Amino acid sequence: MSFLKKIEGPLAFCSITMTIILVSYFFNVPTIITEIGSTLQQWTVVIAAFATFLGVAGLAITHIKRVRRKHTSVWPFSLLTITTMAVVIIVGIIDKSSGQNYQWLFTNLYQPLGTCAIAIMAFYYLEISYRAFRARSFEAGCFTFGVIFVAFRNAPIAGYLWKGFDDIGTWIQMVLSMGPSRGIHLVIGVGMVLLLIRTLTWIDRGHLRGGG
Amino acid sequence: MKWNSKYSYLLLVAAVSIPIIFPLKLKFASTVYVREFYNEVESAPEGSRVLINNHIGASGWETDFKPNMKVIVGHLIQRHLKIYVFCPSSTAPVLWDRDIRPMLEDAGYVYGTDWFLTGFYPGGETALGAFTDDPQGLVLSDYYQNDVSEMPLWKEVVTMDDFELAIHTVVAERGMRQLYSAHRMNVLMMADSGELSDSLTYYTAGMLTGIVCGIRGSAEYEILLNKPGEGVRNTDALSLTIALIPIMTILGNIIHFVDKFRGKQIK
Repeated sequence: MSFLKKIEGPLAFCSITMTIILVSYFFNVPTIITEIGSTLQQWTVVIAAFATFLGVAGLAITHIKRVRRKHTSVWPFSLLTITTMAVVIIVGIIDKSSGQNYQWLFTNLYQPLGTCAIAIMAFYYLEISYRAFRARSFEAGCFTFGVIFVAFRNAPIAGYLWKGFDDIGTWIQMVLSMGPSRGIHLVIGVGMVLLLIRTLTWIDRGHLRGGG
Repeated sequence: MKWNSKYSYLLLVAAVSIPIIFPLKLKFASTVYVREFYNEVESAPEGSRVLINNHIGASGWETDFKPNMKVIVGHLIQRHLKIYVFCPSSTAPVLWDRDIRPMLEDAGYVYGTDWFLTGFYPGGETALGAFTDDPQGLVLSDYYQNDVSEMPLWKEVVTMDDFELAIHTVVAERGMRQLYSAHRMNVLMMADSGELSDSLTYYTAGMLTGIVCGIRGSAEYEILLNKPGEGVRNTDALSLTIALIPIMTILGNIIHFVDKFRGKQIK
C-alpha cells in the first residue's frame, strides 16, 4: 500500500476525475462518460456530508481542549459552543429538522442571532459612509459621486425628491459599472481555466497536503 | 470639526422608527428586470413546472428573502404552476417549511401533487450540478423523509428540460454555470441587495431573464401584482435608512473640506 503514501496516486485520481467531469460538461460524449460524471458529482454530495461530520469533530476537539485546560478566559464560551452544538444535534436527530422542538430552537435562537449580526452591520455602513467616502483625490471624488447616486437610486424617497437620482443612479449601475464588472468576471473565468490547467498537469498541487 | 458617532446611530434609529409611526406610502416605478421576472411567470402556461434552487441562509431571510419568496410564490400559486424546491443550504428547507408551506396549504396546494421540497444537500454548487444532471438519481427522499419514487409530482421530472422555469437564489454565478450554461434553462434570479451588481452583469448579457433583488424588488413585484405587502411596508424604512448613507457621505465631505480650508488635519 506504499503507493497511497505517494503524491502521484491522489494527483492522478484528481486529474482523471476532473477530466471526466469537464468532458461530460463541455462535449457531447458517450452516455457512459456522462453517467460516470453524474455519479461522481453525486459522490461529492456524500463526501460533503462526511466533511460536515469532520467539521463537527474538529470543532468539538478544539473546544473540549480549551474547556479542559481552562487556561484562557474564553473557555466558558467554548463550553457554551459545545453545549449548544450538542443540544441542536440531539434535538435534530430525535425530532428531525421538521419537528416542533428543532423549529423552536431555529426560530428563537439561531435565526434571531443571524438577523442580529446582519442588523448590526447597518451601524457600520453608516459609520463607513461618513468616514471612508471622502473626495481626497479626483479618483476618490468619482467614487464618492457614484456612491451618492447609486445609494440614492436604491432609496425610493430620493426619486421622489428629484428624478435625476433614479436616472443617473441607474445609468451608473447599468452602463458605467457594467464594463468593469464584466471584465472582472472574464478575468476570474480565465484565471479558473489557468488554475485548472495547472492542476491537471500537476504543476499546482496546493489542493493536496499543502502543495505536495 | 468633529462628528460624534452617537448622532449617526440616533439618526439610524429614527430612520427605522419614523416610517413605523408615520408610513410614507411612497409610490415608485418598477425596474425593467423586475418587470421581466413578472412577465416570465405571467406568461408561463398553467401547470408548468418551476424549479427553485433555494440556497437561502437564515441571516438574510427576514430582511430580504422572505418578502421576495412570499410575493414570488404568491404569483406562482396565482398562475397555478407546480413548484419544486431544491435546497443546497441547511437552513433553506427549515425556513421554507415554516414560512412558505402555510401559504401553499392556504392556497389549496397539495404536497406531492402541486409542490415538492427536498432536504439539505451539502456540496453547494456541486450539489446543484449533481441535481441538474440527474435529479431522479440524487433525490431519493424529500425533506419530510418520504420515499419519492411513488410521488406523482416527482415522477414528472427526469431532466432539466422538464422544467419551464428556474428561479435561482443568492449567488448568480452558480446558477449561470449549472442552470444556464449546462442546461440552457430560462433562469430568473432572486437575490439580496448586495448581489444586484453581479446579477445585472448576467442580465445585460441575456443569461438571466429577470431579477428580483432585496426589499425594493419585493415591493416592485407586489405593486405589479397589485397586492401590497411586506415589501411595500418595509420599503419606507429602507428608503430612509439608505438615504442616510449618501447624506452621511455628503456630511463627511463637507466636514472634510471645511477642516481642510481651515488648515486642520482630520483624524
